[in-house]
Amino acid sequence: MTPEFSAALWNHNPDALLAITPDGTVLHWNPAAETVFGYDAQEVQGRSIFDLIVPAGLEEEERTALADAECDGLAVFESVRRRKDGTLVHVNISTRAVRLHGDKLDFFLTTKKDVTHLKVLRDAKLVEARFRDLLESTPDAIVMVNVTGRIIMVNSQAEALFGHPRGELIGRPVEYLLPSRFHHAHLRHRAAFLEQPRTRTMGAGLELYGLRRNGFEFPVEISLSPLKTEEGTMVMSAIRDITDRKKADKKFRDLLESAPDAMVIVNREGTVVLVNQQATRLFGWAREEMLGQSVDLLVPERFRGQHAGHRGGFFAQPRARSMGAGLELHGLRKDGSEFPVEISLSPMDTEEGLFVSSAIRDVTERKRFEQTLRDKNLELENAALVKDRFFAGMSHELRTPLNAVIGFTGTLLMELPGALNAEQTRQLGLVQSSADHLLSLINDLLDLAKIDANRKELVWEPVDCRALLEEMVATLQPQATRKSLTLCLQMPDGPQLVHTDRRALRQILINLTGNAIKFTHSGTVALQLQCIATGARSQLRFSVIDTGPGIAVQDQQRLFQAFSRLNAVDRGAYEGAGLGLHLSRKLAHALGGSLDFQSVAGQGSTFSLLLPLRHDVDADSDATTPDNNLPGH
Amino acid sequence: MGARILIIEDDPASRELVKYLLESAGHDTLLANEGATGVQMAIDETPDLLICDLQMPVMNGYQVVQTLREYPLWRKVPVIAVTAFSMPGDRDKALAAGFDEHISKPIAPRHFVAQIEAFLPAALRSQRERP
Repeated sequence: MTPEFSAALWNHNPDALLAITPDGTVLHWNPAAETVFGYDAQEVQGRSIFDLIVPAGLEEEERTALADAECDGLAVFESVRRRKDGTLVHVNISTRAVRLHGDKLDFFLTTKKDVTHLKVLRDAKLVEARFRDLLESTPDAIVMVNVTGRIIMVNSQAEALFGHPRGELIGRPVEYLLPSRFHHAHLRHRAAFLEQPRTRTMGAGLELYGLRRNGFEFPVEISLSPLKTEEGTMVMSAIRDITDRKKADKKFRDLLESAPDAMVIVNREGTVVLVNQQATRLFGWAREEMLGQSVDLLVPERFRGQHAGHRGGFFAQPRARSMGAGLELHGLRKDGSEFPVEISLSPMDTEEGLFVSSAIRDVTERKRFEQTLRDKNLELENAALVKDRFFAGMSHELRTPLNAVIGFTGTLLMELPGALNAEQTRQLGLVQSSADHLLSLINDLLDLAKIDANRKELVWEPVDCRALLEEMVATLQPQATRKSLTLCLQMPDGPQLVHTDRRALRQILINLTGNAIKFTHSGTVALQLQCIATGARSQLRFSVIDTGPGIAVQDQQRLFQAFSRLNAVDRGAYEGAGLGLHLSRKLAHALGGSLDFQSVAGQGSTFSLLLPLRHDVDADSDATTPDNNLPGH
Repeated sequence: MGARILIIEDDPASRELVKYLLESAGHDTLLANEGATGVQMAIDETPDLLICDLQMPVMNGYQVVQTLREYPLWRKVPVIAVTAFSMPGDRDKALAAGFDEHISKPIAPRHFVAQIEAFLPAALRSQRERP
């Protein structure tokens, strides 16, 4: 045999051919061994086959075989060995002890014939016979592989799912059904699974995809179970297409993302399981930094103790509600700063158990706005109080000196200190009427100030107009009699009720009637009451009709202005230069009514007060002081 | 025969006016220009009626009437507020504090004495007809 032929036998042997020392160190490694195990000859030089190709747990088998070969000269058996990539191959192993000089063992010569495909056919036959019927009846797609990762059986559901007829699949590495980017990782996972085979879900927390024959990928969920047989451990994978669930998930995530508020979803243990973009912005943590963490991460430390208890309470009675009603809640940012929040909680029932979904809103701006509003209101309230005190003070201060003026004018006119002559009496009379006028001006001014400040207190109650008008006529009768005027009252029979403020109504009517008596030289002053129905609302019309000189056209525009002095008609020193009509009209508005007049110079005047029969409570604020609600007032 | 009437009033002109009107009607007057002295005089002199201003420095009219009403002798003596507080609500406030009547300034000189005498027993009212 030529050395050339010897080399050819070595190099072209179809089976892996190894020469190893008695303790398993590789001496020679032929090209077929390179193919079968994936290591080239150089990298195995001087290394032990136990490190290279004997899978974990099979060391004893290898040692026994070597011992048998040493003892009997030859050992033959079938087993699996490991490739460089971690996957297993089925091999027929023949090992011979080589003794070149006498009894001393020099090395072992061992061939390893790759029978993986033969084994697949055997395994396929076995599982077909034993499990086919059973697996056809399960709803999931089932793919079974043997220890070398070759597909040995698929059910019809798997054929339909992947689009491959079973003939195309049997004997293929199972990676054939995965997108290529997962192949490498899958080889590793497969080896790891076989080292510790137990029933579990594949790739928990990872996104898994299957590859259809047409090249399309689809999301899957896979559960793995080892199946022990006399031909070794098989792995059964049940594969479920979760495209629909993924779609639903995506919809849910989109929904979560489109929520205006930050959303944080937490499980019973308080672990964050889902957050949206808004939550990452609000709290300053990246999504990955929040997921899997305790929700305490987002809660200021001083609240954490109570928070766990409250969470337990929520899970005990899950229902949508706002968190900590009436409490000031705060969130904690990554940078340690706090901000006020408002939180709504809803229970969320999922396949993975009950979660709580919390919508979190930063209310910093609102709180600031509310505070500003409170401050502003307080300021206004204070200003109003100051004004009130000013009115009260002014009233008091003006009345005190007037008390002496009016009082001592009175004692003089009563002639208590002694008799007066006619001129003294006349002049003191002027002092007295001027002082009385001054007093009425003060009273009117205070009323006006109150109306303008929206502080006029009105008491809404049913007022009997008949009683009110009859009492007024009695009060004013002496003045009318002094001027020889007829003062008369015209109204329908029976009591006439109106819902209004008695004081204000009386004040208006006294003013109008008093004016009429003052300016009418002869004839009649008539007080008239009519009930008029216009549309849905009934109104009362109080008219004061006189036979006085009337009001000139040029004065009519200014009649209701404060301190308007009328030129056309001589009214004497101070008479008429007052606030009475101005105030009366404001009071009429405050009562929800109106005050107007008609007059023809030389023929008399008619002043009419229109009041709603009922005060509309809903429109209270509007009706009370319409003047103050005008823009810019 | 007239009554003895104590006037507590810090405004001299007003005090003078009330004193003059009452004395003209035949009553005796006692004068105090602030609350604390007034209370002391009220207890020492036991007048038939008290006229009291409301706004006064140190001790105001409300405090005066409340203090006096604590004394058994003063439970039934008429105490009348004569005051420039004449805003709505001032009268109710005075009556609630223990005053028997509230007369607002400026007073009406022709009617003032009659308003006061309404709180006196008939025997102490003035006999003179007012002009």
